Amino acid sequence: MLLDIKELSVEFASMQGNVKALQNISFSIEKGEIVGIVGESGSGKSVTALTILGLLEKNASITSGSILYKGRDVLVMDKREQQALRGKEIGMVFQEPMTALHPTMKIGDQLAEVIKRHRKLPHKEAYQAGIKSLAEVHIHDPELVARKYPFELSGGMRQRVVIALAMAAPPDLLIADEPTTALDVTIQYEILKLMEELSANRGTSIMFITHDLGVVAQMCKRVIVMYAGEIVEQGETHQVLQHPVHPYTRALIGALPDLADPDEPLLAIPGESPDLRRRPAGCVFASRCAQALPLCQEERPGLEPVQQQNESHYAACWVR
Amino acid sequence: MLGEVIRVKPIIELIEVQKEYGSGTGRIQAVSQASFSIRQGETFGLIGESGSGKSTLAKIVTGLEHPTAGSILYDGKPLWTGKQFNRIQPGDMQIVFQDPQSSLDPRMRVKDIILEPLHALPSQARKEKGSEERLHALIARVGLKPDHLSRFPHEFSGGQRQRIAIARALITDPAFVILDEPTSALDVSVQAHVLNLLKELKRERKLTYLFISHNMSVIRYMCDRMAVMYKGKIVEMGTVSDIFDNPAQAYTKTLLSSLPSLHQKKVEPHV
Amino acid sequence: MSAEVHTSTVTRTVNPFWYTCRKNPLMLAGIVVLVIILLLSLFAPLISSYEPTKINIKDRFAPPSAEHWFGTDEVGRDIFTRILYGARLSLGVGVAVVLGAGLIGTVIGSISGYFGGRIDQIIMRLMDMILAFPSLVLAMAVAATLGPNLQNAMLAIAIIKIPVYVRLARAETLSLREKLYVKAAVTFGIKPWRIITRHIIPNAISPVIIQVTLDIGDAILLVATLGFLGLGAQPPTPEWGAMISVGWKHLLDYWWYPTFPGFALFLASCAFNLIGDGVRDILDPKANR
Repeated sequence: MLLDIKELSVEFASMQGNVKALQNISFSIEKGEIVGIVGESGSGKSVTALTILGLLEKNASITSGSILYKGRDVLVMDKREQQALRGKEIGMVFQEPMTALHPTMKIGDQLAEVIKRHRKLPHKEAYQAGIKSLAEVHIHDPELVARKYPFELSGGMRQRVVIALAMAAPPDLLIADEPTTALDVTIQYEILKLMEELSANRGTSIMFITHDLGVVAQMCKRVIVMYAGEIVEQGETHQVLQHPVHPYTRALIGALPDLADPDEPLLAIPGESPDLRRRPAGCVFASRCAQALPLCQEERPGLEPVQQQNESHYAACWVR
Repeated sequence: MLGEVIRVKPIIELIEVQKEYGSGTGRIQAVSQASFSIRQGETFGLIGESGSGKSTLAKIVTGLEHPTAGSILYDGKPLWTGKQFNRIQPGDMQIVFQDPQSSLDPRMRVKDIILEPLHALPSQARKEKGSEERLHALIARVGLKPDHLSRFPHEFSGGQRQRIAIARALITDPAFVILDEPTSALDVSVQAHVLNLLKELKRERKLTYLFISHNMSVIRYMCDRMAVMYKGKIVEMGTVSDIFDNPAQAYTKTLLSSLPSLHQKKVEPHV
Repeated sequence: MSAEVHTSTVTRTVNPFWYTCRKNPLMLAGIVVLVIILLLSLFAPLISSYEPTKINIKDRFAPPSAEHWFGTDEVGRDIFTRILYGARLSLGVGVAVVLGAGLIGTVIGSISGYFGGRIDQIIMRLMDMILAFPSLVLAMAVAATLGPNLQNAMLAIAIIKIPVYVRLARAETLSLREKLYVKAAVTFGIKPWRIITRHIIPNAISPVIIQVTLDIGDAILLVATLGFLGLGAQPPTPEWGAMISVGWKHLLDYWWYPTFPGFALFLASCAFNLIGDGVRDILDPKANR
């Protein structure tokens, strides 16, 4: 097991009280696996990533849980160890590539800089290794791109460069937070294929955070569905998407216009997501759920296997 | 049903519209030779990726930028004469923008935001359309509550903000509404609410929509006819079902096959 | 941060005013000092039994004592009383001048930025001309040309302050003009003047308010400076600058005469600067963190 998160809870201090952004989430990622984390805004999917990377804002506090990376708890490491983990062991790709690139440094030099640090190579060799890594992310003229500045590249090219940077160490885990959301679909398609290929060739695990179920279907072997800071369902992607158990997952799929009949209204989820400062005692989704029982309001359902003999598909729901 | 639509006269007609930026060697052709017409009562989809020229076209139709050549007829009358935008019937054409976060003035109360377009109308019409009764009926229709009127935009979620923007567009009783990526900034479950609402409003108020989006599945769900834009040109135009079932152009095919789909796993069209 | 929260059901548990004051004690100190000065000047007739302009030759140059806390001046007027009444004038004039300059500058700047083109060119070159002069020299020239009195001094200070606000508002307008809600208003067919007053100015006002609070201290000093140079308030008006102007000639013999008005001036402008810094921290959280 590469990454094992247990009972993780995170809170943010705000003027109006503490926002409980993550509530007892547990999941794990195996070596070489691509796991999708899907959810809407406020679901806690990005907070999960930032917590693993040790990049939470000052007003955040981790109230419980552990994050085991290769058996070591990331949360008890000091700043320096965490920093060593970032980049070298755990790579990251975010939605906006410009945040990861130095705006006034040429691409080749940025790559060389990172490779020098991680692989302890002299500059010249590091630069050559950088050009090789650009070729590996399918940039056609890597020597030319290496001489350019980030602003001279298109969005898709920049994201390729960021992936090359993230893979430079090379890491064992890549955390990708909505890496293709800002890109056009045709470019998105290519970037997704590239990431899949890199994962397959090098055995890198990818934690793929997205709001797009279609992307999950294309990329991920396993998917974790988050809602209001909790995991409501997880399992093999095809199982979860074709036989969703949790009402929220079902509603999310039903809300997509992809397969909907244009003459019928879309299945929209009534109500709004709960106030994360005052979490309900029972199921977080109960107030918006059509199937909710009285029990759902009172007691929080645990993440249990959907069928006894099937240990790969879990859902947190009383209604079975 | 289709035959019926075709007999109806176009509400807006674009004839070889062009837009160039810059001059000399630095000239960029943002839109070239764009021609299409939208018939009364239909939803016309305009799809394209970034840089395809669809947003430029929206700016030209709404009067934010003038075309460098070609003409646009609204209700048979030209919208642009040179750099002059002719607002023939103020309030007859309205727009809902992509990002409700930035399309609502953060310092204005919801009531003032919704009533704002009325200030372009003659005072008699302003009084009629801005009556408390009409306002309350409208906000109830889009799913807002009367006590929301005195609040500020930041107090609302993304979906509610887009409802405010829709109410603002409808306050003048428009015939034609331009929807510029109206759900791109919203979550999937919120998008479903907004799309449903837009469809209902169209039916109830006999609206005509120009629906601009980069999302194929939203266009398929919402529109009757559509045009595909690529590098400033309209490369394909037709009914939505025709284009989705039998895309003629290579670009349309690429676009369709790039769309990640829930249930069919990976075809390899790019190779 | 990325944990988005629906704020439609906001419950306030902390009063934002005290929250910011606790975080910024210097601003609180500024407010306290200012409030004390304001109260003292407002209730001056109750606090002091003297009149600010009543001459009493036999008491001239009395040192600080129980009767005359800050002593008396060359014609026997109570300096403490004159400072209290002078506060009304100095503070009032400082605030009025800066508010006036801020208002006029904002309107001009937003017009300049919104329309651009030739109007913008003309306005900005005019402002450059004003800015090209050292501000005090220009204020002196204006005040001297129009005649030495308080109104003209105010006008002179306002004129030298306006370009700052024009530039500020113009820069803000240039970015606001690109905002979607302004574009939306344009597509609705709203007239430019309404867009400027309803959208541009309300959204451009934060940096203007910051500048106003920072400028008041400076304006008070400028009023005093013109008074000191004889170009502002004329005797016997109890104005701090004018008092210092007469008093500094007697500094070696009667130290209290220029010292106390000077100290009042220092306190007031200091208080406004502290408040200005605090206001900037609140309205513009990006700066200074």
